[in-house]
Amino acid sequence: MAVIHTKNLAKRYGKIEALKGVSLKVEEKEIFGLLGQNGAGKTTLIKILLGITRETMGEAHLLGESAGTPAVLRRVGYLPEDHRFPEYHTGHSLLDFYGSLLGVSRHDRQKRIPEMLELVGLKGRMHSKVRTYSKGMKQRLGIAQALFHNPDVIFLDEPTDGVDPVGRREIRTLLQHLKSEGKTIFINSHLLGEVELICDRVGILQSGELIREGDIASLTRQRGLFLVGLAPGQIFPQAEVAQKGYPVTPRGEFWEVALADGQSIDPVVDLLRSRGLSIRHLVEKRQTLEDMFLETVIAAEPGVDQPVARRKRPL
Amino acid sequence: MWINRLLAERDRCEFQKKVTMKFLAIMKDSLREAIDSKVFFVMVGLSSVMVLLACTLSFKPQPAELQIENRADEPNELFKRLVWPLNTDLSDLSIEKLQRLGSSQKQSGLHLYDVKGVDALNGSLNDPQGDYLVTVVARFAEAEEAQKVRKDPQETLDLLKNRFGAFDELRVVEVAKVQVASSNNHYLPETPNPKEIYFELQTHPTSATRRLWPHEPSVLFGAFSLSALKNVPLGVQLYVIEDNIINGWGAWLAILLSIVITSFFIPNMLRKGTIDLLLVKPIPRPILLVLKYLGGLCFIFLNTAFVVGGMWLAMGWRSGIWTIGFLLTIFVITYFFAILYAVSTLFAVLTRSTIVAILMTCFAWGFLFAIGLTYQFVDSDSRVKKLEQEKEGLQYSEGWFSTGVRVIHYVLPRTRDLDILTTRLLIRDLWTANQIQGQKLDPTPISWGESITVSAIFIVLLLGFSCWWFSTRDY
Repeated sequence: MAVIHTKNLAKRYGKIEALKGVSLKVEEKEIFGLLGQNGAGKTTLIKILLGITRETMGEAHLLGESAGTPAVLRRVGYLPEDHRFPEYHTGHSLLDFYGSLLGVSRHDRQKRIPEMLELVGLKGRMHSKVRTYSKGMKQRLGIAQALFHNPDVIFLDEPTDGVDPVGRREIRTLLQHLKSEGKTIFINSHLLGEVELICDRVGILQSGELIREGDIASLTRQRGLFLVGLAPGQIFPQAEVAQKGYPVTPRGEFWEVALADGQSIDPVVDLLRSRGLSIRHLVEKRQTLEDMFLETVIAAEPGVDQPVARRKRPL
Repeated sequence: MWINRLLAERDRCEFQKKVTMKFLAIMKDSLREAIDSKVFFVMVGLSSVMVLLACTLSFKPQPAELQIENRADEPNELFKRLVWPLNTDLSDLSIEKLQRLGSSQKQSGLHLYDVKGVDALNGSLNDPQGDYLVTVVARFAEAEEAQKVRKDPQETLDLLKNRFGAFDELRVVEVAKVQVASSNNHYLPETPNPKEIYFELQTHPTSATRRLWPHEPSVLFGAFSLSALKNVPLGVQLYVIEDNIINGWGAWLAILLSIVITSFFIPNMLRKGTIDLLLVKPIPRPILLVLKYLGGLCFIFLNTAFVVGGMWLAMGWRSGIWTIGFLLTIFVITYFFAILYAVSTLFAVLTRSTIVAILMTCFAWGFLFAIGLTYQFVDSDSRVKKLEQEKEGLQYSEGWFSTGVRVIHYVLPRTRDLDILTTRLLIRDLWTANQIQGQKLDPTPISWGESITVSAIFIVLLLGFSCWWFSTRDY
């Protein structure tokens, strides 16, 4: 059974349609990344799943129950995008406060607070006021509070925002660890490189519609393009390969061989071997997630935060 | 069956424990938030200054002989008044009766019994806890009448013993011994008047003596005399000081600061990025808001308890009088603030703006005060007019303005009633139980049950609407 399940989910703010019938499933122990431009509806989707915002139409289920109910929220951790912790708290007192609201006993809170702060590298500053924390430290504190009660599902909205490269790597490792513990993680992020490294599956939301969804490997694969490299000093038989119906383009020290539909790379490999050439490099060419995202988004209409064309002013 | 009941009971206990934990967490959070703001320190500073100032109060007892001089500028002579119950029936005492009696005594200057002198039996003449020998003269219309009493004084002696200083059920002093004055009494005139008999009464203090004994108050350990309260009974001095602080400028300042401090709580909670983190906690939104409201209210209750409790201790220590009514005002002030905080909560939820919440709460405060005052005026005016018209045999009908004020007064919280209740609590230690029970302290008839219920309904309605709004909004 899917941990997160939405069906024709729609949300309207006045005249603005933030979500237009989004249907999505995220399975248990999966890290799912939701991509999209600003204003595409990513945060709205998360907020509906957490009961912060109510859907206009459709259904949203979390852990098999209606989204936003107290029973479900007990099993959910959340890091909002523009979180604003009360600055009069220290890292320690903030976790104690949120832990109390989550119903975690005093004994468990006292035990878990130093553990969690150590996990995110804030133990040394746990008695400092939040207002003295850097953006990255606040972000790490946000992750600590999201994980504090050992939730089954974790929603992270821009989790690496403001975090330095070392911190990002630590967060990635932490997320992989959480995945190995059987947690389901839902990430909203603009940092596509991060998402590509962390997520199992991604979805692309554009103007409130889920326009693409799938696992990273299948989404980034470019069908029909191979990169071939030969041993140093050997000359690639470009004309002969082209004669066989495979267009070839030099790409630095490699050669890009294009395959038409139904063609296989095997005849090219056979040709090179028959000429006594040593193949040192042969890979199917892939796109980066960023390439795929841009290609997909440009193909679709622009996001809602794109500048609206100016009206003609009367002269 | 019993296992189910046991399990249900266990779940209920667990639920209560969790709600209490969440409530305490929110209260602690409100406290942290308040401490973080500078206004809190202003409030704590002012509260501490008031308590410390109360610690420097001094109350110097006035000598007993000053209390029998019939001076027009000093109407509060204690010993002079102790004979009033001998001259008039003072059981079932009312304010009006006491006021009439005071003015008639002053005007006539002639009455059956009068205090001629006071001597200390032990200690000094300015010790409220000392025993005194009071010389009382009884004046008779005819010499024969006086002669008859001289022959058989027992009835008069009993009267003196039982009624000297006995106001209603309140005994200002106990009469330990009473006798016809001996010949060596230095208050006896050189030429005896056949119409007069002198008596000697040995008095012993009661619990009331000290608070009715005129004192001279001062602050900063006697450095500055509070001359306006000089020679007034100690209990009245305490009442005036307490009333000024609790019902006067002190309360206004404290409530204004409380409004400012607490008005930040809910708008800050509703800020983008902060509210998201709270709404994803497993607490229904109405409970979250109500807990936040109660957290703010508890904070004010603790602060009020600190100021009033501190002043109560200080004034009790300095005056030797422990007035319970003063302590009870903690609850009245908190209830008063609960009404205003419900208004603040509503506007905070509607607008998410601290400034709007402060302004609207202050406006509501002023409006409720004005309505209470106008109602009091309209009500007494209507009563007079009704009496006048009924005397002329006419049917009295109220104007639209009076009806409007009356309707608004009935449906809105009666903050003016709470002011009156505070006054009554402060004054209750100065009056007798019969007076308090008979509600003769204030001529304004107030239905306390109705008043408190209407205010409670107002709070519930405002909070209910706030909760509904908070629960149905997207954040």
